[in-house]
Amino acid sequence: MSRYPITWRLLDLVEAVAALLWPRALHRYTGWLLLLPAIALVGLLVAGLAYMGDSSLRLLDTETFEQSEDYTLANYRDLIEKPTYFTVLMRSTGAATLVTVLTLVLAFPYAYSMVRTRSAWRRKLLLVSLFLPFFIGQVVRAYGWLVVLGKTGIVNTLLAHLGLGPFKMIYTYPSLVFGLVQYMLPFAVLLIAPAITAIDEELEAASESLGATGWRTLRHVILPLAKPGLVASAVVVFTLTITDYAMPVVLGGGTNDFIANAVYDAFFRISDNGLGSALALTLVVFASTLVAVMLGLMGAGTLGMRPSGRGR
Amino acid sequence: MSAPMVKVEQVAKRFGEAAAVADVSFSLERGRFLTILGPSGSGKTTLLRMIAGFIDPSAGEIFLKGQPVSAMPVHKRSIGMVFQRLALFPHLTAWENVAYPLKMRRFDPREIPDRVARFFRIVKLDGLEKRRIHELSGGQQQRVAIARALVFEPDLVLLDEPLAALDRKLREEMQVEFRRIQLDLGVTTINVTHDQREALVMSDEIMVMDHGRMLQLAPPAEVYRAPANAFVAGFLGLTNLLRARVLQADGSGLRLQAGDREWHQPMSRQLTVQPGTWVDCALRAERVRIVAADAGPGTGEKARGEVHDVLFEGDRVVYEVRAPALGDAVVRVIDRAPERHRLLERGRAVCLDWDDTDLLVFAV
Repeated sequence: MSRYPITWRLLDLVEAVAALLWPRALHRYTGWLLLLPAIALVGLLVAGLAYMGDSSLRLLDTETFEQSEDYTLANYRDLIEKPTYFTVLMRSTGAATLVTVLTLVLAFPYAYSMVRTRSAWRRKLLLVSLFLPFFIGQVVRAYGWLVVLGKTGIVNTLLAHLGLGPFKMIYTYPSLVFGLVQYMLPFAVLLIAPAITAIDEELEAASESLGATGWRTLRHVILPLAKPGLVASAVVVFTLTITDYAMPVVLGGGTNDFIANAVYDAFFRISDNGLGSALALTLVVFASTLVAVMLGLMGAGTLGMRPSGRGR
Repeated sequence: MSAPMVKVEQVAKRFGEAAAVADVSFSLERGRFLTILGPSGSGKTTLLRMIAGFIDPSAGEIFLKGQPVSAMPVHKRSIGMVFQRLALFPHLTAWENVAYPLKMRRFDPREIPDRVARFFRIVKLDGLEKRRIHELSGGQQQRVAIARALVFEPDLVLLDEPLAALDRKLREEMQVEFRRIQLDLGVTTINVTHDQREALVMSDEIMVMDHGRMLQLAPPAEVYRAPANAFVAGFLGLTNLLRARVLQADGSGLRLQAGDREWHQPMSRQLTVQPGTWVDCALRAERVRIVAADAGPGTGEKARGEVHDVLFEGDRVVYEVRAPALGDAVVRVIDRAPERHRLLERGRAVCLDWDDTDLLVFAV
């Protein structure tokens, strides 16, 4: 006879304690209880946004460094009238779009071969090389690129031996995009891989036997079925990029600022909380709108949620 | 005389050390229906996938209409396949699934709607074209898969046990249905199954495989009546297999011994065995006659035994009889007309009898 497993004993204990803390009569409110942390968190965020909204409507008095008592739209007028902010916004959006496209193009084949490879070793290797950068952190990684690509970095030193260079590879827009793509790749792969795992391999065989070449199978079967993963990773990569701070600071070298950098400067360089709040709120509204449009075009159902009104 | 539709020549497949398929050769004429029958792991699916092009043979060559195809990619072969899990495209409608091969094979777009409509009628699904795959029942999905494999009128259709997942009634309906469509269209078909009934019902020819080898290739009736060896005899139908020792062999037949019983076995075909060796005797359960031991004389008797188990199946009764005289072997007996006499209950002493010609003898 086997003994009653110790893990079951522990679970029984947990259940007994739970029954004491949350009596049976309250069970029908369990759903609300579970929602509580989320509501608290979102509530805090909303409160913060409201505070920032209030702050964004007050002007900084440059004499006393205090905010004005009365409300004004001056900060928002500033954003519209000064071309710098528009440039920064467009730069962030453009970079986010470019990084999203490049990341998906690179992540899809990576995820596909990781899922479909027959060799367990190759899969492990691909997984490890995917996770390794996660342990390093964004800022350190960005500095790593300085070491590699800088004026006296490894690449330029090697090229100098060949009588070439030095080339300016950092503090440029391409290097910023490069750094961001490299940073986003693991996120995208991890979101696409489950979508590919969910595609029955037999479907690819079927497509081939029905006369489709590899490319047409990709186009007509694999990509449509992987769409949830592609949309999810596009949304994640896009929002992470458009709100990024560290990469523009380190690899952009001060000449390729994103909105987050402008927000930082407003708060901590010129201590203009009103302007900073206005910038931050603009970013929130702008990015949320873009994501909403993206999901609207692709359909929220593509994220694996139940399509509305089509219950069986 | 044109080349056969399919010709398989000494094809083998090894996975590492293990031989999944060993030296299989056969050919199939246009319009014929071949079933590859075997237990799981017999290599039948590997053979089918080599013909489809998903697996490269380790040796040998496969010809379609006389053309060698080992260098030809899957999508260039004119082969329609119905997959075990159907592999219908979930993001497309039934109509789009059936039209898919026509689009991929670049049929004239003006011709596609009529052709798809025709095949929806053939598989009796007209009216359901707009449904998504998950909105169809299992049987309907089956029909979409069949239409999709047939719609481009391939030279050859391969069935990879697509009916195995259906419940019995639906499966038997689909067997008849597919055979009707296959005969109407005259499409050459290779079916893979472990279901002996399906093989017997549907096929023009049955190929029995075990351990990667082809054991017999013949029409269903011949495979059933004249199995090539003890495995084939045991795999089709309910068969009693009995090991016996050869005491004497001459032109008229064999003198055999099993348990305490010794008998003369007339041989209709040549079997060269040495005295002292062992042979396998196969006896179909439905060829054994059974009567209660106290029913009095009237029939001959090859062995006595005791009813060990009774399986009442409605249209027939299967008795399992323990026969001490045959080395305590359990002999299974099918009674096809149980309503004509009383059931024999468990523990009843019975006499068993059969015709000498129904006992098939194979060298071990």
